[in-house]
Amino acid sequence: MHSAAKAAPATAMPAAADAAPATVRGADALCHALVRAGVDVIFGYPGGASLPIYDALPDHPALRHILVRHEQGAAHMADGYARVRRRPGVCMATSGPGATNLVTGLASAYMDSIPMVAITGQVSTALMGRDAFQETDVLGMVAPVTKHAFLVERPEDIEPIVARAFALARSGRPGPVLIDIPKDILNARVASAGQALAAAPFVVRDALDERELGRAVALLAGAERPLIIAGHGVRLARAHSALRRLAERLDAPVAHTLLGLGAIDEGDALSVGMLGMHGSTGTNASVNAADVILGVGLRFDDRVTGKIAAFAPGAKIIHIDLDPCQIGKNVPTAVGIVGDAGAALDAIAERVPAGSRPAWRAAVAGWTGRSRPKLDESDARMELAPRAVIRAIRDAARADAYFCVDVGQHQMWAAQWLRLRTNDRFLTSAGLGAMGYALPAALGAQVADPDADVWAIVGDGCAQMTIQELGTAVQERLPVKMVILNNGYLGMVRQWQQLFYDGRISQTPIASPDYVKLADAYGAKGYCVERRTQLGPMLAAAARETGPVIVDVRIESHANVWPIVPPGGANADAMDDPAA
Amino acid sequence: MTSRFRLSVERAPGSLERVLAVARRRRLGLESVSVTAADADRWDVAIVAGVPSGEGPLALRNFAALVNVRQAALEDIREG
Repeated sequence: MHSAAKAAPATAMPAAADAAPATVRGADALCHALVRAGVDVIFGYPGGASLPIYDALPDHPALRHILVRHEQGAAHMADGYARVRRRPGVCMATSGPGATNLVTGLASAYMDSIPMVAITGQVSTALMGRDAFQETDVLGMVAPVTKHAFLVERPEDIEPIVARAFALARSGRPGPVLIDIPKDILNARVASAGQALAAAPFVVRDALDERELGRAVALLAGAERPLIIAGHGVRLARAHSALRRLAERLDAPVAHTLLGLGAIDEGDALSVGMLGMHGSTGTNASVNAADVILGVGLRFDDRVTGKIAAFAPGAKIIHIDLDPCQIGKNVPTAVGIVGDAGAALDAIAERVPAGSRPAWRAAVAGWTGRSRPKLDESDARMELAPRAVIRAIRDAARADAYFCVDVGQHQMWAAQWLRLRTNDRFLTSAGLGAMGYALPAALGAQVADPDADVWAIVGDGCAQMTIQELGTAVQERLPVKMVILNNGYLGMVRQWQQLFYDGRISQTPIASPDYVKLADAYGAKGYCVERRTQLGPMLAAAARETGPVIVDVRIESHANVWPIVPPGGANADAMDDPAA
Repeated sequence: MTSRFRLSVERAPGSLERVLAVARRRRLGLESVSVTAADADRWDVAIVAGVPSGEGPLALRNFAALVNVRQAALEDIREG
């Protein structure tokens, strides 16, 4: 029999009294608890069931409320805020449709391990289960896309549950937690409110398994062709330096996943770029030629591995992840190490002998360093080539700018061509692939770091999913730069129709509004780029704007993302640009 | 493989739904689910299910990761 027992979760511990009144409304207890949890911003939208919270908010000036235009935007803003501030973002919605509108943002945060606390109003307890107006079973709905969801049943539970929710959201593998609070609980008096609550982190394994570490060290020491794959876990653990040290000690190249982008400086000699479905053929060839792969903080999902049976066929895989559920989930692992990425990388680096592998490094450089002169020729034939646009955005932005990138062709072009030198500046909905993520996430990033240079890179399909948040940007004076790579198509879907569905173009051409007029209508600035000569000057002008700005770039309409691994295919089967 | 999961689960709103969500996500072929009151605070849950190869330990880890699950155990009942 296998068994898994665990210590009881830490309960909220009274720490110190504060100046809060002895009895308060539940809604005020919630606000007190949020302030004590370190919350300074809530992204939300009011409604009937959450009215008591909104009635209390003016009495808690430490809580800045950002009024969004749609609850999905609130969740994505909390996500962007959390990625930049490295603390849980908070979003809030009313019951029923308010709560259901949060679900996409919660699912995206869950897939990408982003700490978040979502608060939803609920109908009064006497109405629950009676299909009351704006009643939904939000707990049942979000169960698969949150780390946990709480229903507050007693007003005195509000503060301890808030403390537990924040502890849970940031403990171990971070993620979203939801708190559902019925309206009568928010209106009830709380007799014992006012205590600061310090919830200890939930059970997290902190000691690395020495036996597994030893096996990993032995494998790496004996490797002739070691390669490291860095995932989001490296960034979440702030293990960039540890990664670089171990890679240097092993003389091992480092590939990265989409969210691992930023784990290592892309200009570093050891960096070999992104692997997987849209990774470079050289990177995928390197992975497939490795004899030992050290995967750190990733789940080896299908976009990374392609056909699993053909993924790195000659390699033994060492897998480091904070979440034990990830070890062995998608790829067979020779060694699984559960723990913090930084601690595990440091522990291996302390134990493994330094090595030099010039032949291996030369082979990898040969695969990844091929010059592609025909790509430049192909770009030159287009008026506005996507690669040139991405490079122009990078040149117009500050060196430490944040890039919030939506989902589709532009996402892959950005991942391939931004070539970021500064760590942790690439935000995207990688796991869920939620279109409409970038603009609200950029607003959240801008709120988190008001002096930062924040760019949203979106497609014309994505833009029309959450464009209403431009109203939020104007109202809050958030100077986000939104660049729309506008090709008149849902481009990635069209590309699949071209390549894998016999070219039958079905429901992928999409019209757009006049984005310059739209920006003007919202009170923002708008530019339209139709010629190559306009690109640099207009992006530079956008960079100088002190308020929100849209740049509508009419890119080559039929450009595609290359390479691409066909569905079900192996990474080695990637199709490359026919023009290259 | 047919397996039995034995879980000790807090009596909290949503805790059984979360257990069943894991069963669904891990593609367990449910044969039976029984819930009995262990005491005022806990349920004992027994799940008998057909488990695809390699999924049993993963499901066990997923169950154990749930906040309201205090203990989780897995035993194999029969092959095939």
